[in-house]
Amino acid sequence: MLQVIQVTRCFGSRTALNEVSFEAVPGDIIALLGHNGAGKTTLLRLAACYLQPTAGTIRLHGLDTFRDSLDFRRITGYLPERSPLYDDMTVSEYLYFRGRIKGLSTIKARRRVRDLISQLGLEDVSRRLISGLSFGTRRRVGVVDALLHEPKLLVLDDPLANVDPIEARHLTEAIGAAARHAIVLVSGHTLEALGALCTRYMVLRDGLLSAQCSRHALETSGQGSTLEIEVTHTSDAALRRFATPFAGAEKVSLDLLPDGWWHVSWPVTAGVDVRDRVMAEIVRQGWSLRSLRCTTPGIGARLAKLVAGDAPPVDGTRKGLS
Amino acid sequence: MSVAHLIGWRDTRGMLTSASGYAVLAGFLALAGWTFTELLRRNEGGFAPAQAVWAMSVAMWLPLLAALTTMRVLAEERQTGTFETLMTAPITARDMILGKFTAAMTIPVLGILLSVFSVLLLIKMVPHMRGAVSTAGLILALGVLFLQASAWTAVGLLAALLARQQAVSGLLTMVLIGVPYGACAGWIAWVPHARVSLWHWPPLGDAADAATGFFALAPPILYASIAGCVLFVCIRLVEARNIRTR
Repeated sequence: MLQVIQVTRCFGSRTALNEVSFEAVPGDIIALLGHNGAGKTTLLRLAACYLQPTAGTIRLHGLDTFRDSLDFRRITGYLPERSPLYDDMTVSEYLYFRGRIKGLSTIKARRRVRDLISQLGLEDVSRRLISGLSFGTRRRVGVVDALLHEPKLLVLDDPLANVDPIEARHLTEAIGAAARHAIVLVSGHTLEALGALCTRYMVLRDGLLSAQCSRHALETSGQGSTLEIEVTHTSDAALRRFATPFAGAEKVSLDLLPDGWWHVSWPVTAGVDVRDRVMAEIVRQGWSLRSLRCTTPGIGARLAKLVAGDAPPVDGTRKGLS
Repeated sequence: MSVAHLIGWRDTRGMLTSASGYAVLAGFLALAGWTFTELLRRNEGGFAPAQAVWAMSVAMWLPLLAALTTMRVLAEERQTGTFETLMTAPITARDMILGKFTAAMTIPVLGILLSVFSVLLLIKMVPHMRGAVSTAGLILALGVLFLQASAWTAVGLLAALLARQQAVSGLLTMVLIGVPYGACAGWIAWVPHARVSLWHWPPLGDAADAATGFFALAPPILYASIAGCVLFVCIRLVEARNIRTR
C-alpha cells in the first residue's frame, strides 16, 4: 500500500505541495491532474525518492522514503518528465545497463530487456543510438526503464506527451499490465488518454489536492449529459413550455435549423432517464420527431471540467484523505 | 560487476566514444608537450634531467585536465537530467561516486601514459640523453602523477557536485586547486632568499623529485589523502542530499 500522509514540500519560501494525503493499493492507476505548476511533478519526484518532503511521510509497503530510501527505490520505477537518457548508447545497451544497476542479474536483465522491448514495440530501434530517436520513442524507452525491475510503485511523469496513437497504445497497454501488481502514479495533460487508462483522478491546484474521484464515479455521475431532440410543426414558445418541466426554462437551448426543424437541448440530471417521458409528450403534442438522443461528453471533457474546477468532486473530497 | 564498476564502465565508454574526450586529451598532450620542450630549452646546460622536466610539464596541466573531465561526468548529467534517473535508481552514494571517479580518471591516466612517449622519443632521438633518463625515476614519477591526478579528479568531482553547470564546475575545480597553488606561489615569492622557480611549487617539485629518483613518503601520502578525504566528502554530500532536501 502507498500512503502519502500530510506531505508538504517547500522550495525556499514557495510551497509547491501543501499537506497532500492519499492512499493507494496495487491495481490503482492514479492520474495526477492540474495546470502547469500545480505540484504534480513535485509530488511524483517525492514518490520516486528524488526529493524528500519538507513535512509529512510517504510510505510504500511500510518503507519510508527518508529512512529506507534505498529499499524504497528498489521497488519504485520512475519516468521523469523529459525522458533523460544517455544519448551515446543504443536502446538495448542502455536498458541492459539500467537493469544491471537496478540489481538484476545478467541473465534476468537480458531477458527483461528483450521482453519489454517486444512488449513496447521497440524491436526496430533496439540497436539504434538513443540520440537518433524521436521524442515518443524516447518516452517508450523511459517507460521500459521504469518497468525493468518489476516495481511495486510506478511513477510516470507525463508518459503520453507527444506520442503518436500507436505509441500511446503500446504505452497504455504496458502501464495497464504493470498495474496488475503495482500502484501507478501518472501525470499528464492528455486527459482523454489518461481518463481511459486510470482508475482514479486527483486534481492538484496550487499545491493543494483540490478534487479527486474514481473512474466509476466519473462515468456514472451523468454530470454534463445533455438531452437533444429535433422536432418540427411547432413554435419556440411551445417548445419552451414543453421542455421547462424537464429542465427549467433558463437551461433550455433552442435553435431553428436551416431546414425548418427545431433543435432543442437541455442538461439532464444524473441518473434520471427522461427519454420515455419526452417521447410520450412529443407524441401527445402531435409533433414530428426525427432525433432524440442523450449525449454524454467523453471522459476527457469530464476531466477537463474537474481540472478547471467547474464540476464538483463527484466522490472523495476537496482536500484530505480519500 | 559491481554497480560502481557499471557506472564507471558506462561513463568511460561515454568519454571514449565522444569527440570532446579526445579533444581534451589532445589539448592536454599538446600543452604538456609544449611545456616540456620549452622547459628543456630553458634548462639547456642546466642540472634538471629530462624525466624531471617531463614530470613537471605533465603535473602542471593535470588540474586543468581534471577540471575538464570531471565537469562532464557529473555536471553534464545534471544538465541533461540523467542525474535524476541515476539518483532514483537503487544505488548507494558510494557506488555512484566511485563509479564516476573511475570514469573521470580515464582521460588523465591515458594522458599521463601517452605523455611518457615524449620522454621515450627524446631518448631515441638524442643519443647523449640516454644516460640521463632512469627507468626507476620514470616509474616513480608515474606513480606520483597518478596520485596527483586522483587528488585533482576527486576535487573536480566535489566541484561538479556543488555546481549545477558544467562551466561553473570547471571553474570551481580550478579555484579549489588553484587557491593552494597560488598561496604556495605567494609564500615562495614572499620568503626572503627563497628560490622562486616552478621547481619549488609542491606538486611540480614532488613530480620532479620522484622523476629524479628521490623518493619521499610524504607526497604520495598527501595526494592519496586528498583523494580519499575529498571522495569521502563527495559520498557524504550525496547521502546528505536526502537530508538537505527535507
